[in-house]
Amino acid sequence: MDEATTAITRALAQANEPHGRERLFALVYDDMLRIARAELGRHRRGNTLDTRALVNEAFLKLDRAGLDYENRVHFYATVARAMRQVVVDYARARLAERRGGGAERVDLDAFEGQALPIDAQAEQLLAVDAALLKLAALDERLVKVVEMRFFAGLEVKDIAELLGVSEPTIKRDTRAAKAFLQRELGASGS
Amino acid sequence: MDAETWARARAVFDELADLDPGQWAARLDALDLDAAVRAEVLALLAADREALLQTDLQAHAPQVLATLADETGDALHRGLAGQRVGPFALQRELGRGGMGTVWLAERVDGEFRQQVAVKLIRPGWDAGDMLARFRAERQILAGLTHPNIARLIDGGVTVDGRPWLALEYVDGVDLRAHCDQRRLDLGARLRLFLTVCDAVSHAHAHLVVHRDLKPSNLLVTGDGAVKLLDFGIAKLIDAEPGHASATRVFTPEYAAPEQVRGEAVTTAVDVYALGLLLYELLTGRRPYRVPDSTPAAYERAILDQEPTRPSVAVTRDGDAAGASALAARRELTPQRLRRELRGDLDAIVLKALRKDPRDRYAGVGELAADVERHLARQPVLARRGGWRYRATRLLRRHAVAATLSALAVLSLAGGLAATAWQAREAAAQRDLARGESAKAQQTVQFLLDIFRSADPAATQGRKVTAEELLARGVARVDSARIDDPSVRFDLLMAMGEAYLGIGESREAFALFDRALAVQAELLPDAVTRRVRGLVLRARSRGGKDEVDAAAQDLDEASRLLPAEAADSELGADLLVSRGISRMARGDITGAIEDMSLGVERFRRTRGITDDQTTSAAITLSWAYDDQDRHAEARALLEPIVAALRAAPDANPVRLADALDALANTHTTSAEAKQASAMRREALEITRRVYGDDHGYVEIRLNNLAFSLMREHDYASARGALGQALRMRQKTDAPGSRRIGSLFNNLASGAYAAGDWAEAERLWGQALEIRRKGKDPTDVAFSLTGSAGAARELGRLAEARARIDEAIGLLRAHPSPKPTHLARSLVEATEVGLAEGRVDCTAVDEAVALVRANAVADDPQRLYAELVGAACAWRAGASEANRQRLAAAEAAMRAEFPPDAARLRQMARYLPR
Repeated sequence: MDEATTAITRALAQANEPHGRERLFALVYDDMLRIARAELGRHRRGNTLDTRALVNEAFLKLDRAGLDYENRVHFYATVARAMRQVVVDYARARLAERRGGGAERVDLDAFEGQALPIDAQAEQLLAVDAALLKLAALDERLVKVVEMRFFAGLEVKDIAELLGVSEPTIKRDTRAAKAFLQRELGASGS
Repeated sequence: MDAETWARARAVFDELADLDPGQWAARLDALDLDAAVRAEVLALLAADREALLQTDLQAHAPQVLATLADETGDALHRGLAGQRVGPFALQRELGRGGMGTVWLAERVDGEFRQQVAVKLIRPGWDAGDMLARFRAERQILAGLTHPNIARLIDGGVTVDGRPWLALEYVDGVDLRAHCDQRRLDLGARLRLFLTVCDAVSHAHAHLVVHRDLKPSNLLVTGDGAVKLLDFGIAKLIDAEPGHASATRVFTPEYAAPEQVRGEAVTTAVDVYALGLLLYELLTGRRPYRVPDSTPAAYERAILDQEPTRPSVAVTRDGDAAGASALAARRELTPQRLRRELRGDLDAIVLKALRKDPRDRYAGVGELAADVERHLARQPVLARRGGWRYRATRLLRRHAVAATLSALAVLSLAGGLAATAWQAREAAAQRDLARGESAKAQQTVQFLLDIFRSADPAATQGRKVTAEELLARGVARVDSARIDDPSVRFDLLMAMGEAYLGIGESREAFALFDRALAVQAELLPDAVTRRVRGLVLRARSRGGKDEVDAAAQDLDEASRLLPAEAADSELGADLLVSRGISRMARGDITGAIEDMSLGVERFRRTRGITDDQTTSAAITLSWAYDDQDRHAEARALLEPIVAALRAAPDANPVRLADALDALANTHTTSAEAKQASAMRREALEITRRVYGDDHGYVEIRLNNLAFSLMREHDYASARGALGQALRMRQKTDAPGSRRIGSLFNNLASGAYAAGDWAEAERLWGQALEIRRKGKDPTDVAFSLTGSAGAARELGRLAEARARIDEAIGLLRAHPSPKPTHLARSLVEATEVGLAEGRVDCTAVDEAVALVRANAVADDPQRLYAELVGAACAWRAGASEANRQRLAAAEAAMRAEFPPDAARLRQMARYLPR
């Protein structure tokens, strides 16, 4: 087991101590980036990034023998949050780069006369992120569900098990969260 | 919006989301909501209807993810081409896996041209630690030279600190794809699988476990050679071998339960992986139904789900198109593929996939042997099922062979050493006990030594099978320091019994023989030991030509058995063995005498539901049945059936055997329906335990047909027999004895239905087989039937020749079955009458025989009575004879259905 994984395992065990969660998040975030860098090709599907595979990869590397149930919940919640952060950070950087005017892309852009689809997506991701920030103030669990479902690609069944609620509950949560996000995005987009 | 407003709005949203939009307003009015909540609910409902946002990031922002992937992933690998790794230069990337990337590389140190596959281990492993392990293991891996295993060539650490391994480069496609592309049939797939097993076995013999066997590690080269990749690599990369919490290198989809649980890895892991591979090769599907592809979901499935039976998996989920495509790649229809898989292959695959490693095949060799047995159409071990039961038939070992565990060897030997019943004088008892205890200690010491050599620590975690353990024992018994010849004797005997238990009678025989030699030389006075040795040696003599030698052993044992030991289990064992041996030699009366005493003793010492008792009793009932002594057989069996039914953990197959045997005793017309019901229950149990295609099912079908015949339901009987024959023709060589029997029985069905020509044809086929066999009574039976058919068809000369031969054979036999002899005698009279010769001697003897041996309404007895009366009436048309004939006719009409062929046959003998 490598150092980072050992550190994550240890941090998981100490997640309830003061600043435990922050430390855990920092470690997992780094690890997700590292996995993304070193492992991306492995799970490419049609040349895109399979976020669920990354989460799986992170999970596989853990010392699961030392994981109790609560640790597992923390872990998945944290990985999902980290995944969100990785993707949103990238989208933000991407847009910043665009707005700063990377020479080639401006040319291309000017030639095409319209934004590249990736920029629209990046913007939408940032809008989702902003809407999630709002939602967090209203219902923290819904945010967790969205992160696990949307960013980490976990199935309803797994989320229900991790959060200790029924599958219909998660389905209802997903639906309400989607409606909320849709409304927020619609409001900000138009 | 505050959290409270949201919570309220959310609750109302949940309630209204499934309603029709037309109902929203009314419901909202009814709830009398605060305006802000109401507005929020409506906004949410409207947004929900739009449902634009997908829940999957993948679908939502594919471009973002793609560029993220490109920019972070490729940067790392770009520029590696051309880089030196040890003596190799990387050329192009071949693929990526859990451990890192694999590159095609070429040797550039000028020594010679060599292409290799270089595995660059991904960062995150401690290079120093790994290098140390590589050095420790390379010797072992280098010794792994097998044509089907890709060799490990070199390994080291790159300048920037990444571990690398160079392996033989294999240019090929994965085994699954190879099979599908070539549309290989099941036989070809199984043979490729055996090649894989052979390679894995070789590695296991060199103490290397693969741990990560999966289709992508099994390649087939252009010229069709199978190559296994990455042998021992998982262990090299895996930190702290054997330590449960080490980083585990395995693919979750192909992991064994113990790998998921983080337990020690043994060869059983590879057996499991081979089971998965076989599953996929055969069915094209995966054994578990996983709702999604997270490792957690796989882990749950691996730990908790029972694999779908391969035969069922083919058409799983009603996916007809998929099933057709799968089957077509095997040159089969889905139905045919299912049929091919059902039975043996289902059992083999499932045994390899058991959750508990101890329930799997003990080694890859065993798995391969079972596949070979299947290919050779021999019964497979996997189908012995969970019950410790082997169907031992008449002339085989009658005791149930338990699956042998190492512990059984120990307890067996311990038990033998402790049997002190030969202690005769009370005065000597204490000294003797002390002596026995010292011997027991020596025995235990010896066995402990064997076990120690099998300790996982000494075998590097490899599991040792019972057979290996036994082989080690046999090898050591000569060299070990065993001072006491009685200990040596006991050990040889214990190991012999163990071999007998696993069905290896030849090895068993050799050991018993050696034990007896030790006894004769060094323990001339150890009488009970000699008896025991003789009984077991006799039992291990399997072949038919050894019947006489077995009888000699048993006769000697009987002479030597001390009077006070007669009541012991050894005494019972001796009696039952001698009974079986007598039965094999045709001495049925003697067999019954021996076996009934033996059964009684077993029942007293072991209880009525014990396997030894019941199997001996069933064998005895066959002997009774053979002599038409049905009442005795029934009295023997009824309490056994009742006890087996009442015992919750009784062996169901034993109950089926007992029911079948009990049905044999229900011979009257009134009981025929009962008998059929018992046979059906036995058939049902057998199907449940062994599957539809097993040989035992065929036997039950045949027996059911027998009862149906007795019910005069000839059509159903012929149907069951036809089914049985088709099953046998699939599994047996064309001339097997069993096929001969089935032809014979089908002929009887045809004859009873009045289909003379078909009957004669079938008896002809039966005779063709039976004349090559060793049982003259079988030949006589078919000859008699075929004489009858020829007579009915008007070919009297042939009928005469056949019946004379049949009677000649029966007269020469020491104890022909009385009803069979009677049948032939009746036929002889009928042929005579047809020839115009009125000679009633034969039929008179027949009538006497059936009166003594068959129930009053036995169809054969009734017909014998009829022919007897008809013959007497022809000889002398007295009033008494007329009345006798009328009585016989009435009895016939009472028994047979009005349209039975027998009644038409009867008509010719009645006065006009």
